[in-house]
Amino acid sequence: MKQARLVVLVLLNSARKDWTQVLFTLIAIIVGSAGLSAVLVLNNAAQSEYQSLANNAIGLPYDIAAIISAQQPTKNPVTKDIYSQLRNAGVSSAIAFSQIDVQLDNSQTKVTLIGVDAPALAIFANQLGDPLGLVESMLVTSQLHAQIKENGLAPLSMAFGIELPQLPIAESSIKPAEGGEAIILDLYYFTQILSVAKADAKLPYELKIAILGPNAPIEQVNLLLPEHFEIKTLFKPIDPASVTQSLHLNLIAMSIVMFIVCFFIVVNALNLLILGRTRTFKTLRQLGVERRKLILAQSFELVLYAIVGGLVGVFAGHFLAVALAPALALTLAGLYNINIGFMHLNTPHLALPIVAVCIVSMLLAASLPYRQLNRSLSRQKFESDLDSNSSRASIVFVCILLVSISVSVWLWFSGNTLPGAFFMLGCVVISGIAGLFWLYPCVIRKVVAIAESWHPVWHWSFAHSLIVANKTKLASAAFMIALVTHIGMNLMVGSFRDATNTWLEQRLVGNFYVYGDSESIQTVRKTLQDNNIRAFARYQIDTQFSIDDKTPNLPIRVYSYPFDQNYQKAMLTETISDNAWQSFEAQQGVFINQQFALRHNVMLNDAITMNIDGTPNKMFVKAIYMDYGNPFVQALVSPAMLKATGSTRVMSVHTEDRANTEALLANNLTLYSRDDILKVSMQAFDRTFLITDALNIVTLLVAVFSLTTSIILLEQKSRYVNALMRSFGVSRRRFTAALFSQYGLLCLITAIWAIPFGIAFAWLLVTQVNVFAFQWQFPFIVQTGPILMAIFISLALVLSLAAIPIVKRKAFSISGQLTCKD
Amino acid sequence: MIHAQSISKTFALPNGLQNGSTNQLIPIIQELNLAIGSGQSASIQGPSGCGKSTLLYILCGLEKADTGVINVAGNVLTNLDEIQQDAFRRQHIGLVFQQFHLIDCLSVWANITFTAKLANCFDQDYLNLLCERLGLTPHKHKSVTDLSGGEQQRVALARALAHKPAVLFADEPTGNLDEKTSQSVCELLYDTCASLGTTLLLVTHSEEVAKRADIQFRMHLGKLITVDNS
Repeated sequence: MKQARLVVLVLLNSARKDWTQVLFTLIAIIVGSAGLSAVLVLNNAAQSEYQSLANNAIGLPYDIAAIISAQQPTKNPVTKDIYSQLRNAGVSSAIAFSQIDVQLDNSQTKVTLIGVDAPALAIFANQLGDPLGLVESMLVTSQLHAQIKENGLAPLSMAFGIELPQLPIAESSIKPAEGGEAIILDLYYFTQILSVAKADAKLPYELKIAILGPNAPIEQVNLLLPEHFEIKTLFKPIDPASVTQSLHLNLIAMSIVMFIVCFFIVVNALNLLILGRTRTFKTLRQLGVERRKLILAQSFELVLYAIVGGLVGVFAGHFLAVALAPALALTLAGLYNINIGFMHLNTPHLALPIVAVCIVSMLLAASLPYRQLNRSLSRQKFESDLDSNSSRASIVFVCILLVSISVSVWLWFSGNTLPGAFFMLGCVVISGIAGLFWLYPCVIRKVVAIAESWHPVWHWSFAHSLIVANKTKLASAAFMIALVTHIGMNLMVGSFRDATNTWLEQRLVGNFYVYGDSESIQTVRKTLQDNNIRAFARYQIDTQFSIDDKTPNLPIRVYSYPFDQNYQKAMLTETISDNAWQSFEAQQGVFINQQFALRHNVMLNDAITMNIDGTPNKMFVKAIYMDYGNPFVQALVSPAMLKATGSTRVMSVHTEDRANTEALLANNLTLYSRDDILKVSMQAFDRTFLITDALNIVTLLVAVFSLTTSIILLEQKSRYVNALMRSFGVSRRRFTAALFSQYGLLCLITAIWAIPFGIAFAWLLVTQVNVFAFQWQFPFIVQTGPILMAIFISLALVLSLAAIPIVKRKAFSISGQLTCKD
Repeated sequence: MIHAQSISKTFALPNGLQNGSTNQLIPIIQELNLAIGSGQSASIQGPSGCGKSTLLYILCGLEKADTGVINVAGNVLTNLDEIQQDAFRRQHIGLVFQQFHLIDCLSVWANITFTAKLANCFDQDYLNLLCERLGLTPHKHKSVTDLSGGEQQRVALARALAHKPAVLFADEPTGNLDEKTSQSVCELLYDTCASLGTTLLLVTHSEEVAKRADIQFRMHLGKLITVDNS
């Protein structure tokens, strides 16, 4: 033990000398850990908030099929009589509720006060075997509950003289849909406390009835209710957690890529660190220290770095998560229309597992340098596996390359799944790295052979790059992964952007678009038509569909689509039948989006049944249209089918005269030009990829930094070459140019080799991952711009970073370097 | 061929050894004079740390003297700027080091031809002859790491002479070799220089190696003392 402690002391002292490698290792751990923890923390927060969103508008853990409310609450409100009538008719899933937002006394905190018919809910809950315990008690959201625990009932003190009843309080994990804090109590107490509120409080509340459960008798309720009540069926096509799964998967994939890149960087850094310490290790061995104890002491040092780096990384990851949360919230809102606030970032919870992952990864990363060290200590001759340049290694790399390609091809033909697609992406990266290791000596030797007839300094420069390439293989691998994913993601996003832009430009037929409530749009449409301005309202209904008898009724949102010539031209379809528009106009044909077709394996001319106007309509799929960015299944039908029952929120207007159109609009309607919509849509698109872009760029930067630092560290160790060249009369300028060409050659080989793999990566993302994760397909375009930009930026970064020590290097003593070859 | 007049060189004492705040300087070379004729050979001996190698590096332009005038192969070194000094070394100077300093990533032939190509005076026949004379012909296409110490130093010698320099400076050329190899390298060094008419200045600890020089110097207290051969 004493021996090991001594060795640890020697190593820690040695670390002070080799602080650049230690710092390098620590930076890699911190970056990897920060990226991973930021994404995990964000995903974790999002998941817990989806859970509450997945509940419902009044924060109860049951599906709400519909909500009954009054069309004119002041004239004909929902009353207790209507509610009793429904319940007496056997609709036991009808639950009366009301809610109101109030402020906590002396604070800005908004609290949603929710009153629910607790006894009725208790009976319903008991039927499901899930008593809620709301009768004679109050449920409060977790933050309020924590405050009550700390300060008693004081946090529940309300403004406007509202005093809560003295009831037992229980913590609730559920939340109102709009976020914030909530207090849920029996409707009896709810009405009581509001009736004694201060007269000037003006807290009108409206009674509503929720119809709960998956098998809600909506049709029966429809028949029982008078006409002046509105039954709003809640459209829940899919729950937020599953709809955003792809995005979170994407984030996790990016953070894993980042972690892997960092892992390679750590292996590389440890390799350099241990390579640099070989002499110390040999001396310690000669002094009688056991090999096992050396490895143990080295491991202790590395675990120390992993703990420090991991913890700092988790800490940095938390701040990164806080910084990224608004961007991710915007992405979720833009892409999925889901609003979450990332209120509860549970970082401490993730600290331990992330640090554990860091320690395990660190020891794993050290295994290869350990193997070399072990061999070096036992044979007294340092032979680096990474230095090995034998034909055997080449054969191994070629084999790995061929096996990876074969596995990818086999996966491609053997059936398509999302995990399979990710596996193929992994194979692309592995084959790229194996190919790179095989390629380096082949290409450099060819360049050296060509350069033999050139100036001798160039010849030396390229010949020396083979040595540098062998010693920086792992950093190059990290650089290669980062570049492949960078090119892949950029090409995918570029293709997607291009497709979305084309699609939007084609689909937006109207000069202007009017947004507002259904009633106002209907009114203004008539006014516009009276003024000879063509306008098409888009009607929509949320209903259910079935494909055949076996398929249960599934939710779907159906829109109307005009069959005007311009709109026909504007429709961008994947496939369309010959008589599509005639059939569509005759209300026999339906157009479905690509998401529908792929998710439910529906093809052209297949029959689907949709409930429209309360009756099932069997229709035939006549076209499958592109619908980028929409996570839901959708269908388009003739406007005549929805005019009667559908509501509308948007209307296209065909006129050049903006001023006249605006003059005809009511105040509550908003007019957007086609260009405005295009601009906003593309902005939303760009926001969607903001986080993945950021992670991508950070990964590339770290990899570039790693490669450059490795090269520079190696160069520092062979400074005598610099002195030797200068002693031969090679000018400082020429030698610097030779060094740059050396770094540039390595970087260029890696970058050029990364191009085909980056394209393959992008192609898999477009044709496989996107299809399985999002169910949409778009044309894959290989844009040279992003590829050249990635290569140019990488080269510029490597050369700029390498330039710093070269330019900063002061005139050194040539003779001093020549007299001590290290 | 080599004329040095009143050259001096001092080194600052390392920080750890400084006494007080003033920068203490140690004189290594003091008012040193030297003259070696064209085609002559000279050796410098002396204890470790006496400044032999420093003098050698000053004479070949790799170090700067604090004072004095140095003329090597018709070039006044003190008048040359950095670029001119580079050109001077490229054209007129050959260097052989104790640690060989061969370029590992290049073959024997590429190492030898390096300086010739650099000086723009690549002469295939001459280089082949040089290889033949130094016994390197069978090793021309080998990697330098595959050679023995003696062979490596012969490659270093060939490289130093490949561009037909006016002066060859050798810093402990046999310091890393065993006695037998040292003897053979020493013979090659003197004989080749003599046959090519190259002026030779070498620094050595070996009495045997030093003895073969036309002029023998011993360095003492920063000055050169000529050893009488007779």
